[in-house]
Amino acid sequence: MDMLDKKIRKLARSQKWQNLYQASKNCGFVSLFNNSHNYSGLQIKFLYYLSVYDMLYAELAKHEDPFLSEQVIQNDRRCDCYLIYRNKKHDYLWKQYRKDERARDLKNRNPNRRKRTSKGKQTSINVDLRRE
Amino acid sequence: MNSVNEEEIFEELRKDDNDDEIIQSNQTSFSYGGKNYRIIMPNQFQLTKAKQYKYRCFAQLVKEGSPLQKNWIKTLKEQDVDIEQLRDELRRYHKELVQLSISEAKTKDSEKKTRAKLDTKLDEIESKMKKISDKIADNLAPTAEAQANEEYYRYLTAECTEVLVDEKEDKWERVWDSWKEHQKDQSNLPYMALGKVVSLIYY
Repeated sequence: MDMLDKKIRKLARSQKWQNLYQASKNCGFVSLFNNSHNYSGLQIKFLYYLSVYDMLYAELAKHEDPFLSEQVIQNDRRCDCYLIYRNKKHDYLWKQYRKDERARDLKNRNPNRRKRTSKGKQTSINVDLRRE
Repeated sequence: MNSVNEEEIFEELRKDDNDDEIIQSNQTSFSYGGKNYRIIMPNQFQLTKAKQYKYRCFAQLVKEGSPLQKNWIKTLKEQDVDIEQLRDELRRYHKELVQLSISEAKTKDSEKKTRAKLDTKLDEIESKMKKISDKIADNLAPTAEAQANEEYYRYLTAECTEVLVDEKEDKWERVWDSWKEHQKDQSNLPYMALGKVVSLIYY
């Protein structure tokens, strides 16, 4: 990780920028930068880190995960590791949720499915047309 | 009075270094040869012009015999440099990196020794990945795609670099009036500016 990246991350998790970010989210007239368009790559990356640290601080306040602590947020390496772990965890939970939801849907849509198909009069296919 | 060495002074200064200016505007500044320069984020028009130049450049390079990437990869394979294999290696290391990162994420604040071991392994993998990436980039550098891409950033450098001509009035002027003038410049300034352009745009 280079120095510039470290600097951007340090700024993004600082109280000053987190407060400014909150203010700009809550009341639109607070602008973060001198320019209002044509953002540089650096600014876009900074915005990404602002939102990441905002999310992590919110989760820390709610004690959502035992592996998330202030020390994790302050350490770039540990923070990166935590984000990878968090991503995998959410992927797993999301897949689990979708699986449960499908099972629930199937049950709700065709409560007598097993009974009817057993008579050979009706068959059904469960097609989920929603976006992934 | 205690003597303080320079490194200690810089270390102290770095502690308070909250360089907001690097992100507060879409430009970056630097000094060279006693003058102040700045790079301004290119606008849509400049980006389009640079892209058109890149395409022209690419066509010209192919005409002049520079290899296309897909053909060059085949040539390299005949010379025992397997780019696909190197990319596979990168993917393998990436998987390993993810596994180690998850292990590190699950450590408690107090498990410093475990984390230190994992950090060492992560450093090793990252350094191996960097070496492979550099090897891939070095080997693909002669391709028309890589050369045209380099020209794209050079063109943007010529478009976006400005020099401070009047400090009181905060007056800035383009360093190179044209692309040709930029090409004629034999100083180190084009290279310095190029580095700044890449970090400003591509970061």
